[in-house]
Amino acid sequence: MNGKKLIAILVLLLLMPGCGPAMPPDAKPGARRNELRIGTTLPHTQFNAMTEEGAFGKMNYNSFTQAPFVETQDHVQVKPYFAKSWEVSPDNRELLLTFVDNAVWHDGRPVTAEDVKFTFEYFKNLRKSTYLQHLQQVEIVGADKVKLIFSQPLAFSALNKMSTFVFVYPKHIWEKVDNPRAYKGTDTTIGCGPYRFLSYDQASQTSHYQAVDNHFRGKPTIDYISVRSFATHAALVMALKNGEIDAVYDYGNPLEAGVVGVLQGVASVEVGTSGDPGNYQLSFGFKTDPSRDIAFRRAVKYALNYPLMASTIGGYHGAVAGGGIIAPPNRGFRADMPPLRQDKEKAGQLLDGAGYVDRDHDGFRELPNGQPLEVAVTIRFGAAQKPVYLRLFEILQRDLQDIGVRVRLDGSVNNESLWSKRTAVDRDYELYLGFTNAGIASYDSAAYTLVSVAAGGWGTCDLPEYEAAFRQLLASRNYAEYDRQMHVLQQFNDELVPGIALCWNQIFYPYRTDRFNGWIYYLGWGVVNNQTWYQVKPVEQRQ
Amino acid sequence: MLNLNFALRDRRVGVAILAAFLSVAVLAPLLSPYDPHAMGVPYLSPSSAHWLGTNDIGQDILSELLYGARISLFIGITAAAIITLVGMMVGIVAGYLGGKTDWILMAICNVAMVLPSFPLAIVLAAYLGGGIKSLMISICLTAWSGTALVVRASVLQLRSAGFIRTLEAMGANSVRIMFWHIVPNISGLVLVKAALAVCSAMLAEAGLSFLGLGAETEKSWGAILHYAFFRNGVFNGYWWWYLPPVLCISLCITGFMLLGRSRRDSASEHEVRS
Amino acid sequence: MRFRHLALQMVKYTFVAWFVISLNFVLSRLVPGDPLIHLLGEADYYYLLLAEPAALEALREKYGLGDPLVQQYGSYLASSLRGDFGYSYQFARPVLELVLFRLRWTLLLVVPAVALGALLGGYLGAKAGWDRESAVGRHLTAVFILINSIPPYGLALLLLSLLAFWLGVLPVGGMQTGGLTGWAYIWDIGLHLVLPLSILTLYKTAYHFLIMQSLLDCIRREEYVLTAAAKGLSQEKILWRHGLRNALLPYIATICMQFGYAVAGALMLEIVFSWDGMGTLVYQAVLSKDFPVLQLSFLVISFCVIAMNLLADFLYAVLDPRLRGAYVES
Repeated sequence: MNGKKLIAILVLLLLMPGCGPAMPPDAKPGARRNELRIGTTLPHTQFNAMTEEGAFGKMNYNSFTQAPFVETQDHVQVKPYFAKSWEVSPDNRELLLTFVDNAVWHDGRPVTAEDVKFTFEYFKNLRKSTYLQHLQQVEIVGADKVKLIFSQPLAFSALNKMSTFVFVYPKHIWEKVDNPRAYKGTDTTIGCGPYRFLSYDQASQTSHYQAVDNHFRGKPTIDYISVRSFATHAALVMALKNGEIDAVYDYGNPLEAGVVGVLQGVASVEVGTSGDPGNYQLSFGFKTDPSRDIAFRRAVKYALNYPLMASTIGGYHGAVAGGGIIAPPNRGFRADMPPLRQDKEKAGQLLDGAGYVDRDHDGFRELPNGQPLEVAVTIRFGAAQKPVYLRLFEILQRDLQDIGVRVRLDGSVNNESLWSKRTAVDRDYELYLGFTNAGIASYDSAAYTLVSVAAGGWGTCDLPEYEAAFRQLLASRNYAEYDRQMHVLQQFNDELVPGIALCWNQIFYPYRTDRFNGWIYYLGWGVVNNQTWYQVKPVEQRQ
Repeated sequence: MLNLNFALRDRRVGVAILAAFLSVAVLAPLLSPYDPHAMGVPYLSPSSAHWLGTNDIGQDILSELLYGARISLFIGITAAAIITLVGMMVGIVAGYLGGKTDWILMAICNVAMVLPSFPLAIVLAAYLGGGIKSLMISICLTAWSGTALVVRASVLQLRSAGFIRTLEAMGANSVRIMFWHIVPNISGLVLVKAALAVCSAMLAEAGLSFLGLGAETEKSWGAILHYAFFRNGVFNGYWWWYLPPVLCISLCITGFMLLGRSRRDSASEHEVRS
Repeated sequence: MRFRHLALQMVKYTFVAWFVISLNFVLSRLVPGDPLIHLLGEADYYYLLLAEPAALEALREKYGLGDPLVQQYGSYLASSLRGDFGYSYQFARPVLELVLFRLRWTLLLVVPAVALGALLGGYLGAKAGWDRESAVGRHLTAVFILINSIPPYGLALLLLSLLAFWLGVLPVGGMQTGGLTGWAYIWDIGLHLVLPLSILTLYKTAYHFLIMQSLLDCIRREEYVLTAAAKGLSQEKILWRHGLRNALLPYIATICMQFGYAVAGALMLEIVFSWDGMGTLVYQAVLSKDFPVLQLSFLVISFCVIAMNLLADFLYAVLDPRLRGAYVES
């Protein structure tokens, strides 16, 4: 047997990976056309304007293929889009919208008041979404005017809540459809936004879009857009670094500090740092003891190791949060609230004072009535962030054990049906490690996730003062009132502790500056937003 | 003769490796510098305070590794024990009783052999959720079939050698006595299969834990790798986080493999010992 | 006569196929919770539960979940035979089309790896198994045993971090960059394929090396080898002309029967390299509890394994009636 032959084979095996350049010379797609390449980790699951799912659904939050009635630009007040102007009635129960009269659907038909009425009735009857709660009636009052009547004084907050997320839908396509989610027709992508859907290439997970020439806002500055899905943030960042994509958009799943280190100092790449308007949080169930007991909640507030929580979530960019649970980039944020701090002694004292004593000397406290105390922690279900939540649970468990409270992980961690039932239907969790995303934070605020459903929220807190404050927030008639109520809410949050923010995080939406410029960066959202299509231009080529 | 020397040496190396790991597992509390659940400063590189640095929540990786030996070995050995016992039982019953029992058991065995085990484990993880129980079920569900087939073949051989008929003629009455006689004769074979079963069980457990489908609160080596990959340790080049678990898993499995391989070479399968 | 055995094997495999289909049914009905969730998906189910319970009940009727279990099973079998395996609720597309698309890419990874591994491993294993005392043979054996004990995704992680993240010579993941045609397209796929394929090939080489080695080790001791040597044939000639020929059939049969493990190995590698084949599909489906996809994926993989096993049986039946029914255990 020839040793030489063998060595030759092995050497060949070893060299195989290293052959050839990383990318063939002119294979970088989009390098020639006026095409903006966006990268995301949102999967391309559905292309349906009615659902908000997948890359397509979430891209539509940027006034992309669909036209929202109003849009928000970087947390400032709502701006007109499909609705040219509006009027809120003095009693805050009526909203009159005047909309654009020359809009055209991607299939050529004109957008009419019938479409608008259809859209709102759909939201009222079929979708029952939280954007337009308590919508009672929809009336056409002119060729370009529609009036919305609410059963409660919620018109102003409805205007804000539907901003960016509620689009006008084509009646001629959807009126014959029973279940929009299951509809398999080819016209599910039709809208009246500045871009139309062209195609989807499954092998490379890229969808393609083209600018609409006769859009009512004018022709966009970029001719073609492609959106590519990557499996992980690491792959996304590497693609940006290699110039395969120009910008990152990742609604609800922002890039965190751990992956952007490689982008520091790279030519033509902006790291795109901003505060996260959403936040990780610990919330209480309020249905049983001990989460009903304010002394227990306050004790938990003093028990947690905040610097460790913050660094687990955000690495070196994670900062300890304040007690108000509203994150800094949001409207109405109070900068005067002191950061949360750990004080295990004080936590212990609070528990002692409230009767949580270790009577049987097993190292763990019992409830004041003598029953054993074991708190179940439910964590948010979701693939991408599960490792983070499990880590947060480990820290929480440690911290609470240190003050003598026994903690276990709720069984729903592995059972999505059980988790959904627990968090969406029964709401019988005791402690919940969850998240407020940027969308909710933008108007409803983190308080929405804490307040009980009865008061218009999605949580369980039924403390009268907190509920009242939240109701008032939603009933605000203008931004001044809104800001005032936000101040009050944050104060209550600090005192009554329905929930605790675990970190003020930095998130990243990096982008390249070598092919396009004119980027406008929205805090907590990035450079891919509703102004991108008209502000970003290709860099002048010098040939 | 030369074969035997290599076999002996292989076996010795295997035993040495396994002895090292088992003692680490048993002595973990004494050997590890920190409590693996204690948290500190995250993402530290190796230093004199933390020989292998810290993970994403500041836990000492060396301590995690040492305690991880316990979980990984425990699950591997327990699963292998179950696999081997079940396989042996099925094989003996099928081979000894013959007839319809044999036919039914072999039908089940064949199905278990053909079913792809790893995809099945993943599918089961989806239906049963994670956790140690579902992990054990997934690992053991089809793996016993290999042992069963081999044991049955041995029993049939013993049968054809007249060994069993002799015993029956001598008046050995109950089936249990048969077991006392049959088992020693196949013990060499079964032990080899057991050692190899540990290899596949450990690989399976590590694979499922790596995917996050194992027991989430246990720190097995696979679970350490899970966090290393999904918390961007690999991306950022923290080799002290992902390299040691890979090495540990590999060495441990090599040890069991050497154990299994060497015995098969040295013990002749045609021997019959009474 | 030889085909009688083959027919028996086919019966066995049909039974296995039926078993897998039934297993899917059993799992979906026996798992705690409302089976309607599995059919509609999380989002829809809870939306309907809260907003329109009447519509939910109507759907329950429509899917026949109120019917007796046997009847449900019957209609499930019927629709399976028709090729109707439901819709993925993650992708809102028919599951069959989704799975077949992904299967293509997994096969692109598995088939070359198995073929290359069989060739390379077979060649090296033949040499090593024949000449048991050679130093190279022993060293290769040690190397390949070691490789078999490294978990494939472990090696994948190491190479990924070295070649893709650190050195940057290979893509970090995915299958294509998109938008390419012709030779650039093929080259692009090739680049993305290099790492996962190399690793899978390495493992298959290791495995087949050990198989071939032990096969030839057995054959070497046979009497006809001694006879051939006595006749004056060189060791080389004996190996390639006589030894290998006898080893070939069991070797190829083993390759076929190990196909299932090859697929399993590919699954893990796909997940690490974000290769969009069955591996990532199954993994995503597990995480998002997309049960229709999971069930069909499992079925398809089982079918591939069955097909390969059948191929092995067929080869035996056709090529060597003497060994029919008694496989060489390695």
